[in-house]
Amino acid sequence: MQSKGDDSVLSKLLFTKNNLEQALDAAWLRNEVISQNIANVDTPNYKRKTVQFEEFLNSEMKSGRISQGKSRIAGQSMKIVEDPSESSYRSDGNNVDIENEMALLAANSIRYNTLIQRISGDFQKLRNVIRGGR
Amino acid sequence: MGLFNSFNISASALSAQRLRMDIISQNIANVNTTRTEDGTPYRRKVVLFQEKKEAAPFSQYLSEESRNRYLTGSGVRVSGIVEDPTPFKEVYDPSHPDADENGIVRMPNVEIVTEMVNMISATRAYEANVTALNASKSMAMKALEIGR
Repeated sequence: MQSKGDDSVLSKLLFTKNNLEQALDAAWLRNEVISQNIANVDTPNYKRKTVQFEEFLNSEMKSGRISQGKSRIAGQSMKIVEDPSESSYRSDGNNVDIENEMALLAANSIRYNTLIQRISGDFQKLRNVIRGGR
Repeated sequence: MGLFNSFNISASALSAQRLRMDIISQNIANVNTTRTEDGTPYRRKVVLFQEKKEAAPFSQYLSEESRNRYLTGSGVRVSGIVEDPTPFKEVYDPSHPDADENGIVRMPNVEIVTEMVNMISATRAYEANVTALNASKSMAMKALEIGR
């Protein structure tokens, strides 16, 4: 028989790190990486970095390991990779495209705010239940 | 992946770009300086940038996988200020006190147009980093709203 605490709604909400939180971590890390790319826009031979998260999530979802019951990626969920491609318009070995990075930065903070809203919504639901719908 | 890591990254770039701006101002200010303290004309100075790598904590050295995971790096640093070795410009002006016996004055190797272009580039890079810093700040503030 399974212990009661493991799969109750409350413990699932409070004590497990679910998909949303992993996505939030990824968005935060991505913000850091984009900041690093922007900071090194004039550094010779710097190669831009990216964060892989959606790839891990996709493969987990395809394999069926993520379902309603288990909503988190087990093991490694994100990774920083270097983009080795050469820029076609720069001669200093740097491949940071500042317009692209600024667009990614804006998109990433919107994604982050969305995730924050979803997590707040989860807590709001929980609070609603605790109050008995009043 | 700390709370203020992205702040530090942007801040390091802001101070690096500001230093670059200082050096450009110095170059423009000395565009006509034919004699410095050691008697030679002023040489143009250039700032060198280098990526600042993050020192990995001991635990991250243990496995290859974790080593590649969260090491964003910690911004940019100025690795040095070097002098531009291109030759001085020679101008014929016999009335100049620094002219040699043939009336040639050696002028600094500062190109004012190059300096202006670099100045605009530094300003824009500074602005981009301010935007990145503001984005990080608003994200950190937003995280405080969880559970409100």
